Amino acid sequence: MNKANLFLLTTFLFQQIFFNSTFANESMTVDISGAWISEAPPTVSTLAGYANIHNASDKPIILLNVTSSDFSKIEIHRSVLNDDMVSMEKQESLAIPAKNTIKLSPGDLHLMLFDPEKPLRVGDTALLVFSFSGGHSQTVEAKVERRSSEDHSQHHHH
Amino acid sequence: MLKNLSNSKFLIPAMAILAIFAISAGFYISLKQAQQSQLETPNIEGLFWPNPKQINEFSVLDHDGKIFGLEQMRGKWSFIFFGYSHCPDVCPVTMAIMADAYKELAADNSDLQVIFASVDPERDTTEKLSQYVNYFHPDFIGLGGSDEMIKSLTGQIGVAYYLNNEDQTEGYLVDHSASIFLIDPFGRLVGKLSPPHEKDKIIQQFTNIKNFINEQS
Repeated sequence: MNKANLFLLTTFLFQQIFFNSTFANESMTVDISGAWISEAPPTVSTLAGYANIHNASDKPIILLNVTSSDFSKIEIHRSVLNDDMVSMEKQESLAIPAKNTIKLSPGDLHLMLFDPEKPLRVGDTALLVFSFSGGHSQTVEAKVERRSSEDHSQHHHH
Repeated sequence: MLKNLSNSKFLIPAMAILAIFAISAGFYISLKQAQQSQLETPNIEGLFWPNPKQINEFSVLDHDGKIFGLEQMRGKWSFIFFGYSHCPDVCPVTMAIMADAYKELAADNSDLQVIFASVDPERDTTEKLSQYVNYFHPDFIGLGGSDEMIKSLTGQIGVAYYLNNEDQTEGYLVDHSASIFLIDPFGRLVGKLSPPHEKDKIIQQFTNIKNFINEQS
């Protein structure tokens, strides 16, 4: 009996240590960089947001959702070109493989930002909260920028 | 017998000469044909040639609420992109690239117009279209109107679009063509610029197609 209790306690402690170390590991190994929001014409109520999400750990990490007090709702979408037709596919989550970077960029994966609380012009910023598997989340400041035909990812690597 | 023999002696070289002549004639004809077919289908990316589709009369509303039809296309090179203002990713990227290409092209071409035709007339009112196109470039033209009006244009160009409401709780999405269509000053659909769009690619393709069309007339 005593032995069984001791076993349970040991298992419990082991799990605690294991999971805590996982959290600590993730918070150090997810790096979100170059977050920006594309400025849109004044009447447009749905904006697009982009960022690079790097997973330096040796385990895959799942981006579960992105939230912000600056928007009514945020969804993860992918623009898909199929036989000249372009459509957007909603992603319920986004897996970032171990030792890998997922780039959210124009014409591909992007955040769909619904109904900004206030008009967002170039130079403004919005806070985006990225929530990952394992209970970890990271808040990043996204700058509002005007699109140009230049590749934005070039300017946002730092 | 002697006569026959001498005849057959001449027959062989005569046939050989004939054969050489036939071969070279065939070669010459096939070469001519190859040259001709090169003229008919030149290797220009995105060009619809020969027999480009002639656009027939259509009637939509521009961003000032005025009727816009074939008349407004005559004498001008028109770039047309079909999209909708609630489209957050592909449409603004395409329009921004188109604006950059237009700024460069307009220096040498006074007969250009860039058109954003809405496939979401329900939400894209004249007022909204006006602000939308003006944001990208003050010269840009927004087209809208009723669903029926829009179809009078999309049907002819062969552009499909449909509402995609599958996984959307808020609003709806529209699937649409990602290409930019090119109509010449005679109202003929002469080209299609396919994605991914880049400023320099648009400028190059347009210049090639325009030069080719000008050579034909």
